[in-house]
Amino acid sequence: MKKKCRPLCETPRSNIFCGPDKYLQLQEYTVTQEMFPVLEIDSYFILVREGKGVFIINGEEFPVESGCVSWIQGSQVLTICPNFGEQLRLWVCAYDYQLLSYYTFSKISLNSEAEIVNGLPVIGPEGEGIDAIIRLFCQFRELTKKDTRGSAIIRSSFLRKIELLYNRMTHSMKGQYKFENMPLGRQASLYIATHSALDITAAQVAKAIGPKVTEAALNHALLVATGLNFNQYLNRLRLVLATSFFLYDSLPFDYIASISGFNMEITFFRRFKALTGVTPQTYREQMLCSGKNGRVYRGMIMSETLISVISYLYENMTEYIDVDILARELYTSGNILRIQFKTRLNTSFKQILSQFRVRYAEALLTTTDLPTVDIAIESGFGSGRTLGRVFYDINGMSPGEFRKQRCGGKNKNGQ
Amino acid sequence: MANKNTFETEGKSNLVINSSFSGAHDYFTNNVLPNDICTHLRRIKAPTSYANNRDQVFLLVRAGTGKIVVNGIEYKLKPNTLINLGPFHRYRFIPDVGKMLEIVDSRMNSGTYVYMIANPYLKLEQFYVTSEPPVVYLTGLLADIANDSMNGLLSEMNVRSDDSTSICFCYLMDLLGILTEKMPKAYFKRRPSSSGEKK
Repeated sequence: MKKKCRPLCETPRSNIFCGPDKYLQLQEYTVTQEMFPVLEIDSYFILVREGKGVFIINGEEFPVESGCVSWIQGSQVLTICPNFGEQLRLWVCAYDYQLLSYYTFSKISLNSEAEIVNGLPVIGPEGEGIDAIIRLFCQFRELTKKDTRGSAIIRSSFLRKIELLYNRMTHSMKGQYKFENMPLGRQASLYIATHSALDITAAQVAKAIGPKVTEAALNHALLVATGLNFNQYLNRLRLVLATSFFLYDSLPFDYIASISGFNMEITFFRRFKALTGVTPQTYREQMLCSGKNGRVYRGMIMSETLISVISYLYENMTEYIDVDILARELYTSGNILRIQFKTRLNTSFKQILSQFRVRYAEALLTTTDLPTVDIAIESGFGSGRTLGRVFYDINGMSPGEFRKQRCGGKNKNGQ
Repeated sequence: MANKNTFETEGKSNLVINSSFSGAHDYFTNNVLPNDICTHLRRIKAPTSYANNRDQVFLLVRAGTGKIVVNGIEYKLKPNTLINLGPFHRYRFIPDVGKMLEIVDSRMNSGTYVYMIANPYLKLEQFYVTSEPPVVYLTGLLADIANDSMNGLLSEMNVRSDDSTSICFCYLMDLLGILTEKMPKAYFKRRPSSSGEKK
């Protein structure tokens, strides 16, 4: 039987659980009475530590208790209601779409997308995997206290692990949560969430949801569940999608606008400013952080060109490599590549290649009896003289001196 | 029923779309990220000969004591020692007399490793490859995380589900994070050579 939709009590608010100051932070809340509705641009996880209550997600009610975990998307309006006389103690972690985008390696099929979006937004308190998620939350909390570079990297991967474990659980519970039993507002929101990048109209969505659903009914249901009409909701989701690509070094905004479903770049810029109050450029700058002022360092994701060049160097360091040929194969120029290396990695293509070759030569010097000339050729230098010069530049000693020093038995006892 | 909603596509729609759940570039999908993150548990009773390392490897000592010799330098091994070796490291294990070293090693190709260091939370002031590998001795929370990650990697080797590569990547990222946490900051920076480098 179809569930009833619970209407919103007021206009949803943003920046409650998400925002640049909340990246990789574990937030702790105690909710004693029904909260205002929340609609964020990013997604977030909630772990219920204590108490009982109800999460109203796009008009649909989900009972929660201690040990329940919820993954709220940027397409979902959440109202938290503790049961009468109870208080809900919650742990919340923002899981921004830029990070999710980095950790997701492949473009996804519509079916897989639908399965993730259509999954249960609340799981637990029982079930295989819940304990692992709770353990991750607890370790995340400990790591938040450290607030160091290494702990930030670990916390970022924890969020992705929580997501993957969550998806595994919802996948195994697929049969318990059916699309046809959801209220219309939630059905519509889920459909739009999976199709926002396509050119869709309210009439098409209504038709896809059911033969008896009219455009007016769809608009009304969306308004009741999310506080937004079809067009507002669709544009919001397109902007959420667009923000997920903001951290890629090499993607310009016009391209981001086009892949997010905006036909015109100017529309994207206008709507973005209307939603966030700032331009996409400013929004991107706000997302980044130098690691000062008590916030976690956050930079851009390295461009695919740089990643592919460094990977290529790792794999082929002992071969002859021409930077211009390599650049051409990657549809760029040697000069652009040199600039990217300098600005992003504070080094040059040549220096990286030399480092790789010298390190490989070190391995051969210390673990074989090969003469230096053979090692020079084996490690890609071409001649003993070049090896000697580059080796001295990097290590401050000749290959022979290095071999003598290392093979003399240098010990490291790990302190 | 005339109109089926798209949540019941029965496999007919494998249309690839852009969504909040599909990140990265085509390049990563097509070239970099492999299905070959391999993890093994090794039990070593006798000294091994030098191994030529072609991949990026994370090693975690689970039990036993001994030493590892990497490019001519010896490092002491004890439980919860974590090491990262690159393709320019040749190494051998020497267990202590009468002891057995139990080591988990997890390998990935260089493309995966470079994608790991592209993490927006990893601050790369300068790309520099050090001569000596990072070796850290773990206790407490970080030791727990390292062991959880290696256990997770080992169990994924047996399961191999659709999202195995993704979760293995996270486990490896944990190990990279631990090394970043424990190694001194100066380790990741280029040290000027005594010759006074060319500028």
